[in-house]
Amino acid sequence: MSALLEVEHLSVWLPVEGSPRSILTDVSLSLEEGEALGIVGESGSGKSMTARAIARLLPPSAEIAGTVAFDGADTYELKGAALRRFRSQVPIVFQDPRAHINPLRRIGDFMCEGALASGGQSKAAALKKATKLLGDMGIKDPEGRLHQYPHELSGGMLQRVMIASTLMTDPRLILADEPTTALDVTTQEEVVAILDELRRERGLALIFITHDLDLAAALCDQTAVFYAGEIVDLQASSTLHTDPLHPYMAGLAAARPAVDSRGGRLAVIPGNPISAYEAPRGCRFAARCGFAEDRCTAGRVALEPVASGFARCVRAEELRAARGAW
Amino acid sequence: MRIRREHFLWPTLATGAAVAVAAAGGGSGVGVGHLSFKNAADTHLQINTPTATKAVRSVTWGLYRDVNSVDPIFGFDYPENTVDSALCDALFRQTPSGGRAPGLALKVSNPNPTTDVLTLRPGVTFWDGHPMTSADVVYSLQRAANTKVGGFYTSIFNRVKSISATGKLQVTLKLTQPDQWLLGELSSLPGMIIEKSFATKAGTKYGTMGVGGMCTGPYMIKSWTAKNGLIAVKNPHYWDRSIHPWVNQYTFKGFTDSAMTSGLETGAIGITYSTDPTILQALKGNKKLSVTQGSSYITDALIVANNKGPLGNVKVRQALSMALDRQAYIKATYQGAAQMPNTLANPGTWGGYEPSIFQAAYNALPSYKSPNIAAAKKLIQQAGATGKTITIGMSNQITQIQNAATTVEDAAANIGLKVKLKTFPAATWIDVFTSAKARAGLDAFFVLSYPDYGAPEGQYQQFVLPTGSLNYSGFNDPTITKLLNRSRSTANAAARARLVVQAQKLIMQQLPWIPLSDPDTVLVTQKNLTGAPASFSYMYAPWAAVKLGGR
Amino acid sequence: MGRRLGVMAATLLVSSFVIFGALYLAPGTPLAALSGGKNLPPSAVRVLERRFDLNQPFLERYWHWLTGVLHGDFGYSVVHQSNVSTLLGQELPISAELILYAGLLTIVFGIGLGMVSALRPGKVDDVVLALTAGSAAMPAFVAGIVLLLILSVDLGWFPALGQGAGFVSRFRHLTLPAVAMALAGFALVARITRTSMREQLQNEHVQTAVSRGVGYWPIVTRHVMRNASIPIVTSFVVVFATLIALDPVVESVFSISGVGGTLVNDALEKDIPSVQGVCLVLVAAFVVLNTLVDLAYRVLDPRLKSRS
Ligand SMILES: Nc1ncnc2c1ncn2[C@@H]1O[C@H](COP(=O)(O)OP(=O)(O)OP(=O)(O)O)[C@@H](O)[C@H]1O
Ligand SMILES: [Mg+2]
Repeated sequence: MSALLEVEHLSVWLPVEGSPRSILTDVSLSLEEGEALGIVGESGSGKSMTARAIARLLPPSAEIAGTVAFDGADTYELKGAALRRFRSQVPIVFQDPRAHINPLRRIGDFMCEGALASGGQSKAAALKKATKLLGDMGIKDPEGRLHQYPHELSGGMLQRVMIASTLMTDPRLILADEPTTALDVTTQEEVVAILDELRRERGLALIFITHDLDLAAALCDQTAVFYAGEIVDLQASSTLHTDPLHPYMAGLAAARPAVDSRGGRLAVIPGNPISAYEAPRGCRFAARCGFAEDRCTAGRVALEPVASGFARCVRAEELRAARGAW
Repeated sequence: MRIRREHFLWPTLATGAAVAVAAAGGGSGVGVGHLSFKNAADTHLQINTPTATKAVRSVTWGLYRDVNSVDPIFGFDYPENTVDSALCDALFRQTPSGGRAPGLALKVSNPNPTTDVLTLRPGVTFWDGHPMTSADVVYSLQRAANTKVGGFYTSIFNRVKSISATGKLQVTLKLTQPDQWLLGELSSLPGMIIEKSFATKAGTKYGTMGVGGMCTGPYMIKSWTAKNGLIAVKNPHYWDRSIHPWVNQYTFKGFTDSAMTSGLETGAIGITYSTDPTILQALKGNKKLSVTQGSSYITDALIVANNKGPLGNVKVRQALSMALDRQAYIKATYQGAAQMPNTLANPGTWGGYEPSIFQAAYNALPSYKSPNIAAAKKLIQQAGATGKTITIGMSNQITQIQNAATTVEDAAANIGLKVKLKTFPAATWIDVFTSAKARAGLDAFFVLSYPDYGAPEGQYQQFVLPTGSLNYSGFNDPTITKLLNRSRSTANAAARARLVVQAQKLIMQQLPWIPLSDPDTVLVTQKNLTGAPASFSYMYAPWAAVKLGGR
Repeated sequence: MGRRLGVMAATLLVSSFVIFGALYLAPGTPLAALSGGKNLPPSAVRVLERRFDLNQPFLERYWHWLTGVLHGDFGYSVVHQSNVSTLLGQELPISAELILYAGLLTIVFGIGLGMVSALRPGKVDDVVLALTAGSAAMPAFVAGIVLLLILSVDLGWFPALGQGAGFVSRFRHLTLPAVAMALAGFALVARITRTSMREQLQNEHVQTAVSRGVGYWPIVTRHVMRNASIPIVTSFVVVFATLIALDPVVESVFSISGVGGTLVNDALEKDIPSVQGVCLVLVAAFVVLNTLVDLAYRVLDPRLKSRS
């Protein structure tokens, strides 16, 4: 049986002032039913774009190469009702619920909209389900909430509504794009706990995008590290810190103690991060890498299996062997 | 935005002056033949249009504004004159050429020179079927004469001592002096008869939109609203069996200039006498429309308002008059629909009586065909007026007045006079005529004026008599005053006409006003309509309404 | 609501006083209109001035008028020789119909084209933009005359003048004037619709809806239009204010017997009761319109409701 989600060699370009600008390059990853994947990376590294590409939410002007298969079907072949059904199977939990929920519509309308659009449910049944889901999220007086407007709810509450809304269509994969960044620290923990619980109880697959390495590692089975539109390191979360496969990941891991773990930003690595379109030929991290050699920038670097994971580094095996180096 | 049209026309308000008068011979009737005459200045002016042959269900009659009263004694302007003429009959009827024919009165007899006995027409009924009697006539005339009622024509009765019914169909007017002008006025709005019982019941609201009126005319009011205008239908019991109106229903409605144009072009408006002169050529070029130029009573002139300034000198007035390029002015302003003026009374007013005497007198007067700058300059020099300034009131929002001002300015410049123009907005232009304050400092301003009936003296009396309603300069020439007052008392038409032309000759020498042009009546109808006279009679008599019909 | 009525009454009172004062001070007399501006005999002037209270001092006249209005008597129009309430009763419905018709055209076509323009960037959008730019630049009375010349005078498709009687005829008569009036506001509505829809299309909650599998039209209507409706409805105030302001011009071009055409003329003629009557109605209409839009806000934007 194939994986639930199979992303292969996905590259994305978006037009900027008429000419295509590279956003993602050669992204490959796969996710089994019920599995959780963490995505970490600096700002602008392409995390959100990856999520959008998976959920078919790229702007119409995007150029796309590679494939995204969901449940064995190529999602970029989908159209009309099938596309909408697919989307309802892969809902996104967005970062800022205030901006991502229509302020002029009632919570109930927001919750039920997707479910009603994909059909099969009556309004009453959808409302009942919404009530139950809100209750499950630990929200008091869920029925009353349905009649309220977004501005009447706190940020944390609203994010729970957002998460609950994703469940209305019985999805199989939830994309959570930094779902806690806009929330205060205590609420962040609650929301993470809810997501984790959901996933375990319902056997949902989850892609969790965050800046927080520890959080990703704690929550997810695997973690993909993005750099300038590419995956540079992809492996089981359990070995991420102990066995980084890419010098960038190694740098992050090394700097870890210096960072306030929860909600903190990624570790500071000397040099400036770059965007995919600014990337030179060959290794995109080379300019900031302590181990860079001439061959690093000689040609394209592929994402290769290394140990139990994948790394995009021509010296990965060699450096791993000489572990003592870092 | 609706800028008031150039409709500042001034009817006569006869103001009597006591002059002893020769007794008129015996009680002759008033009936006057339909003398037709040629206008002196031009021959293409028409009185009548080809006779109609077909009935028409309904026609919209374009006025320059909505009618505000159908009470004849409160009618003083085109819309009311037009509508009242279709609705009401006067004691005498003006003919299309301006003559005077029997109307609700069959004849006037004079048992003595200061007694007018009117014999009323039998068998006349008001719209409601009530017969017209001397009581209605006495009531109407007394009401018109009563200053407490506030009608606009009280002063025409200033030689009248009493009005009384001396029979069921006989009314006797006792006069202080014989008065021919009164008979002229009785062929106009103040001579229109309204029903006594209706009017007493209506009180001060008589003639207003809510109440309407009650007359004997060929058309009667069907409905009258601000929304749809005044709708009049044929009076089935009209007394004059010789008249067979073709049009069943008229809608009298006010239109702005632009609406009038588009209404004519689309056929929404069937007939109008009030078009903007500047679009005359365009209307003439329209295949769907008939445009007819006819004679009128209107005089277009410069009023001399101050006899203390440079224009107080008759030589300066004469020089200015000589120097005017009237031909260019007429072309620019009326697109040809006006005639050169030899006098200050339009030849259209001659039709009332003895046109041949007026024609001869007119021909004998110096013509204004082309300016004579050299002679004018000499006069100015003789008067010692070279370099002096005259102040002229004008409104640059009224094209006709704007052009007139330019014409005067050019003439003045050519003969060494300076002109200062004082400009008024169209909306307050009226004030020049009604308020001494607005007039202060003006040496002259422009006017269009007309008498109420076909007689040059009706025009002259308003500005040459010391009491004339448009005598703004205090012009007072005893000889002229005497001649005109004598004409007022002279029953014999030829004798009267001779007195008037004598006065006219002096007036044209003295120039209390300076003539600019004699504008034509311009009748515009749809091509498929015809029959209405193109003369000024539409203002006073029902001819236009009853003769218009399908072609 | 009570406060609102108070404000409305105060607005009406102040504006009536100001208009009354301005007309009172303006030169001329309404009697001039009765005679076409001719010199009236002094006796007539005396009688008429007394009859129509023209020679009373300002405050007395105003007070007289005001107490009359409070008793439902709007006074007597000297120029029209009719009760002002009768005149209003005849003319107001026509103007109201014209303005509403024009408003409807403005709104329907403005929103329609704005939507098309917002949802179809590129050629269609460019065409719509050019169209709205053109129509916004054209003064209503020019538009009116052009429409009249082409559609009415040349082609004879529409009547040129008046307001007709009966529904169909009224509809035909008012179409050209309504279109002429609608042209100005329509560009405004189209542009506001376009801009605010574009803005809403960029909005993140639209993304959320897409990500939930909601279809195109439900998103356009329930999210984009729904949220864009607030600025669009706000523009209606401007639209109707514009229409009210254009009404006199268009009514006189098309010779429609509504209050607008009368207003300008009567102001020139110093017919105070008539002008006052119309102004009262216009001010009231405006206050009502503002109130309606305020109420609409409350319905459209739940955030306002909870704040007050
Ligand atoms: N509409 C767009 N057109 C062109 N470039 C875009 C567009 N949206 C995003 N980008 C670019 O794509 C790159 C990836 O953006 P993305 O939003 O995926 O970053 P991210 O990793 O999610 O960052 P963050 O942590 O700030 O959310 C960035 O360089 C960004 O500037
Ligand atoms: Mg992001």
